[in-house]
Amino acid sequence: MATRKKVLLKVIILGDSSVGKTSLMNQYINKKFTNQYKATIGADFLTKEVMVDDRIVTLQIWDTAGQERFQSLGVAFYRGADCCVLVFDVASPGSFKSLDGWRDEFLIQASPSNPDHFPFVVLGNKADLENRTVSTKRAQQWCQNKNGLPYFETSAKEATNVDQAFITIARNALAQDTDVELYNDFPEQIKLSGSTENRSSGSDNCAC
Amino acid sequence: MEDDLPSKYEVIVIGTGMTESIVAAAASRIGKRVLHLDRNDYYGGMWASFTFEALQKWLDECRNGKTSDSLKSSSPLVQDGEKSVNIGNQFSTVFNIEEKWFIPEKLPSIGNLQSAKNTQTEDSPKEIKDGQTESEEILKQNDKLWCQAKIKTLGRKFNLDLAPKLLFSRGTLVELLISSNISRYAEFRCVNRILTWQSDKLETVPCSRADVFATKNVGLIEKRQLMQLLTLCVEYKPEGDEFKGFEDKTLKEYLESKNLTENLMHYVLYAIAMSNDTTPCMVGVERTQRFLSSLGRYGNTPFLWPMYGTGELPQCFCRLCAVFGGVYHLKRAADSVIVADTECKAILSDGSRLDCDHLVLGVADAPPEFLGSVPKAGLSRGIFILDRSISISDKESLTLLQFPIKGKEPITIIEAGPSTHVCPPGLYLLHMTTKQIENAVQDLKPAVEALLHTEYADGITSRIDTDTQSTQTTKEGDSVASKGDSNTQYGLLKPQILYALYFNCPETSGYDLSQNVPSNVHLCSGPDLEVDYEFAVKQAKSIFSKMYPDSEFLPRAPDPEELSLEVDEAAGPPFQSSEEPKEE
Repeated sequence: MATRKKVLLKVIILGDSSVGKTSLMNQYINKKFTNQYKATIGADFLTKEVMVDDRIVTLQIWDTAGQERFQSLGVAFYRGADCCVLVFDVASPGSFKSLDGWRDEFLIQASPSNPDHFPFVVLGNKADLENRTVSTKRAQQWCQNKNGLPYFETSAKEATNVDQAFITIARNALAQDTDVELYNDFPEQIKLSGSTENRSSGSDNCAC
Repeated sequence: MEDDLPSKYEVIVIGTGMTESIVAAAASRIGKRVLHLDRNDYYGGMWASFTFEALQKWLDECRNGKTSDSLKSSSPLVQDGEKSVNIGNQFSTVFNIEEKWFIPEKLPSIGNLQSAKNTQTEDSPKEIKDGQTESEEILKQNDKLWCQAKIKTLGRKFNLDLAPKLLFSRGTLVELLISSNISRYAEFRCVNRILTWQSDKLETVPCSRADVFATKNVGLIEKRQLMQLLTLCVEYKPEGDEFKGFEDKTLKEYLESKNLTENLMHYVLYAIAMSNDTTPCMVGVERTQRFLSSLGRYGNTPFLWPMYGTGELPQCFCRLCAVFGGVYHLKRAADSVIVADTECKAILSDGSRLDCDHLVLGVADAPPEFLGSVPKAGLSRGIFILDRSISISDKESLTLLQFPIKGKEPITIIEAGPSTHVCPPGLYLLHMTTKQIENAVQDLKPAVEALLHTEYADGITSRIDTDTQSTQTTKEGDSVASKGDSNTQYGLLKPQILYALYFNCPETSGYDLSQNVPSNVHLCSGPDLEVDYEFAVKQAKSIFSKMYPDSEFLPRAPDPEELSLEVDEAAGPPFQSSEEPKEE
């Protein structure tokens, strides 16, 4: 366990459509925000290297790619998540109410080994809006009832609290990263790529 | 139905099977407006992987043959000159379902033992020291004993494939995943062992040059012969003379002409050429080439297996489709197809009319009118949960075995363990697939009886201590059941079946599905008999090129870093109105 192989952390962002999931990601990674919707290639996942307590970890942040719109995220999306970010819009009570559903959906689909202590982080986005309808207190109360989940009020538009939120996300993802060494008696899983043709490391019989 | 699903698409895809999903991704990738529907709450259709509970639910639906609500033909959404054709019922295509437990519902003793143990330790730890170790011993043994309740508790750790398949490391699917950049969504394990069944025992087939030289199962002269033969196959060119005169003969006859020993014949014929005694020579040579060319890219066998099972793969293509703007809606059934003249105009779904230029759908969802005389039989499948591997080795193995049946297609057997996330630790999953002759139970019987322990396990007596066993077998190196082993001893090594499921489903890969369909409707076959994905990829490509002959099939998707994202969800979801132009 001294040297951990996996420093790649998979983070998935859940929440109703148009609560600002993609914008938060885009603000955090690209430091950009746009109010204009442009029908372009959708968001996939973005990666960023961050320092967490003297360790460099790579955050891989997965967007829902719009498949959340009709509750059609497949189980593959949830596989191996190290942290789940639940986002709602502070001006949309409906999106806040949906948090329970998204949390349950995550726990069912990802079925983490320690569901009671899986790191969720809750973000109340669009905190810059004046017409907010979900109070800070109400959101904090909800997080308190779920084993005290970290809660941040963010604005992807004004870049408020976005970096702070993602640092917490990275730290909590890293802290729960315990499953990694469970299956170490089997050669590493393989990612396909054209250039680097990796071979199974533990194999005794090298091919010709 | 009050939803904001736009009503006009260039392509509507019904069903999220492998072929359908590849076509959906390819269309979306070139900027076509795609709607992808599936009536189920999961992806994959007949290509899905299930948790144990989800499998039970699927079986219930198949047994009840859930019929889709028949639609009034006088729907106001059907215009003059159009007719409405009802979608088929996918659950009616699965039949001969046989499900059997080989273990009790609960382990009767475990609770008693535990409480006994507790009182013992609390009350007088010294006195009953002997008794304590004994009960601990039983408890420890009970870790290896299984009951139905335990399997169900661990149910979410299963990914039970309806259509288990492998990828050739240099096969078309691997190349497609890499060239399209969809590979970033998936992870794989290398199949690390190819077994064969010869003279009533399992043997490891040496595949690579290193394997051939390392194996203890063949002698020195045999090794040279095998190397020569494999080299001949790799270097074969149509203009060469090596196979002259064997064009109309079987591979077996060719191998016989080489004076190979029975041992070698068996390895080459069944395991490397993945053939049987009737396979034509040149087909066998081609398969041998395919096998050998995939060796060594990722490991010591030519095959890859997706982590979490094969049901992941359609989802990878669906994600790409979604990333490029495809709209996804599970739990949304299509009810009927609207046809005018020889063209499909739209589909009806949940009271909405959804127009399309092209309709892609799986055979399982196809209206019976579209199918004509497509057969309803085809595949015999068996899924077995086992308490150990069919051949225990020091490391967890991922295994392919082509079990030969005289005069018939072999039974393809894939065994995967917990490190591929298809079953909980301590168990193995064994898949059998073969061509349907009678029914799944009968067709798979020879392999089941040869490889598996089929007696009921009462959960009280442990058959054999697994630890001793594994040390015994691993010492033997390559040979799984070494020659020294007596038959009775080998019999004891067989894995216990804990749960078995058999079913039959259609295999339509050999049929021209374009005969009875409107010109812009494209049917996708379900899973085919072959162990790989060549057929599915080929069919997807051909459907795509029929729809868009001048467009590239799944060009490389840019890495996320290469894009400057300018999406702002705050302004509303994609496709606010169906007229909205789509840019790339």
